[in-house]
Amino acid sequence: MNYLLFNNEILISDGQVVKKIDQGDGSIESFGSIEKARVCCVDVDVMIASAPEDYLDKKDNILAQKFQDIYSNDYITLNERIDSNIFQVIGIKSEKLKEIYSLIPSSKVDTFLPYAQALRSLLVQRQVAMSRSIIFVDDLGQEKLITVFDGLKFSRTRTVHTDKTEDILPDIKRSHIDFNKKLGEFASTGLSGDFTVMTNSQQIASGIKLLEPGIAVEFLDCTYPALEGLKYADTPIKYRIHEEIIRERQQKELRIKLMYLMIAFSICFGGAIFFGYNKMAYSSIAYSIENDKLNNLRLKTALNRIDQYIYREYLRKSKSINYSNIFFELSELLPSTYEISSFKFIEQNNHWFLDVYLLTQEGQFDDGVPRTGMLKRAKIESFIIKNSIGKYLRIPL
Amino acid sequence: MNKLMIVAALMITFLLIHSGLILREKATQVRQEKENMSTENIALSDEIDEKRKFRQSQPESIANALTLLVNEIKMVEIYGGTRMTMVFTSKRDNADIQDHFVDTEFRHVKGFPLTICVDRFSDETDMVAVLNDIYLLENRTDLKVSEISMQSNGLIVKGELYGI
Repeated sequence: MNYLLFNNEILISDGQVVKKIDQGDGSIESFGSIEKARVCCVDVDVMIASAPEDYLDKKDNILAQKFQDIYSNDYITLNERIDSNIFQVIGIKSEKLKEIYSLIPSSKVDTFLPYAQALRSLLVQRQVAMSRSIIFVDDLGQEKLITVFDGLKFSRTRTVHTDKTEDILPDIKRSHIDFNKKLGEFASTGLSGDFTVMTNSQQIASGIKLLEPGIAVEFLDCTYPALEGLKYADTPIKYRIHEEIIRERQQKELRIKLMYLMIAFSICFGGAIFFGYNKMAYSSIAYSIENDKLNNLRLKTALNRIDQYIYREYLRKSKSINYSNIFFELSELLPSTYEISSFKFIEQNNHWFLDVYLLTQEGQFDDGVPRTGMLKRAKIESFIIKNSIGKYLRIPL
Repeated sequence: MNKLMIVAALMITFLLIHSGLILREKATQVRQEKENMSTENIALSDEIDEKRKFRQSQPESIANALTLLVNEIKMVEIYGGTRMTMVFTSKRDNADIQDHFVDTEFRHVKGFPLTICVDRFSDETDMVAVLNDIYLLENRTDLKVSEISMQSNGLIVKGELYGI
């Protein structure tokens, strides 16, 4: 992990060694070897604003709009909650952001914070009481960075180019006054004119003590406090340029569109599978029945032909009844006391029957029908007609 | 747009499922039809196998069969002495001879219903001889007798003449 501080010059640290790079220097190309980095930038503007925190989108829009009303340039803003419905809005010019991201790609940046926030992380880590007003003077050699803290709130970092403490002191006081003015109604309760100066320069600390004995001065033993603070700023907060946001939004929209497309395709695919399965089943059975129909036609044609060629044989076989022989045999079996009144050969369900009506001859007794020969299985009933006793016979043949 | 895509997909899917259900229903009907047809085909095959056992002979047209029957009746009348009158009983009008045909148990073989009336004869007439004449008539032609009845000294023979 690398830690970078962007000011007029760039400080880069691998966690142990710190290098200074001028933007005109060719060593900027060494950024290409950086895998991951945490970045802070000095050149940011800060304001405190209120917004309803219940609705995140609405809140961000309101805060961005309020920031835009004060700072007319094109800014990218972040905000952090200070109190209930009160937020600290930190904006960086989009040009500056693009410039930084042109040096180190956004994909390699884990965290991108304002300088003051990185510094505050170190103070919190070093357990410095933040409930008081603290003015931090960061000695970067030729440059001195002055930042005012009031609890979580911090001011815009002022840069002073001097080595003389007596020149720094007025800027410290001016920064404190400006910050208090700017905070206005959002200043912490109990904030008085007192403040503590904290610096990482032994020389500045002793100089202030000498020049203004009334001002509390504390020394912080850290050469590059912002870079050190970046180590503890374990937060995903990151400024991003509009194009990246738009690109990400487009990618997100594309992903969503793809997801919907996949869902739609899956739904259609399910329907298509169902339809395809039934279509195949129907086609298969339809093809199969066509074969059966052809077979049926072939069989019927064959049967038709066979029928035409066998019906005469069938007729020949079905004409096995010799009516004259049967009638003669019946005449022989019947006693002479009977005469045949009427008869009928009849075919029923491929079985032949002979129905006979017998009458007794006048003056003759009814001797009864003998149960012999074909009459063994005959059904015999008696009847009376014209004073004569008659018999009805049904003889199966 | 995304929701529209889902709605369109749902509509397409609905149509596909609806069409699929119609096809499924059709397939069920066709399957039932196929089962019936398979059963019918098996029955036809069995019938063919059964009928192949019969001796096959050249079929006769119904016109020829009728001519043969008329000739045989004349022969019986001449040599047997039994006077017969043939009556076509199935239809009264003679507009179309096809109307006279009835279905037989053989495919494309026509049945021509008719009645033969044997003229009144006396009590002394030999009924055995008359029945024998009818027996001969039936055996020499494609006539199939289905009923012979004698009432009040009259003999009625009902049957069908077969031909193609």
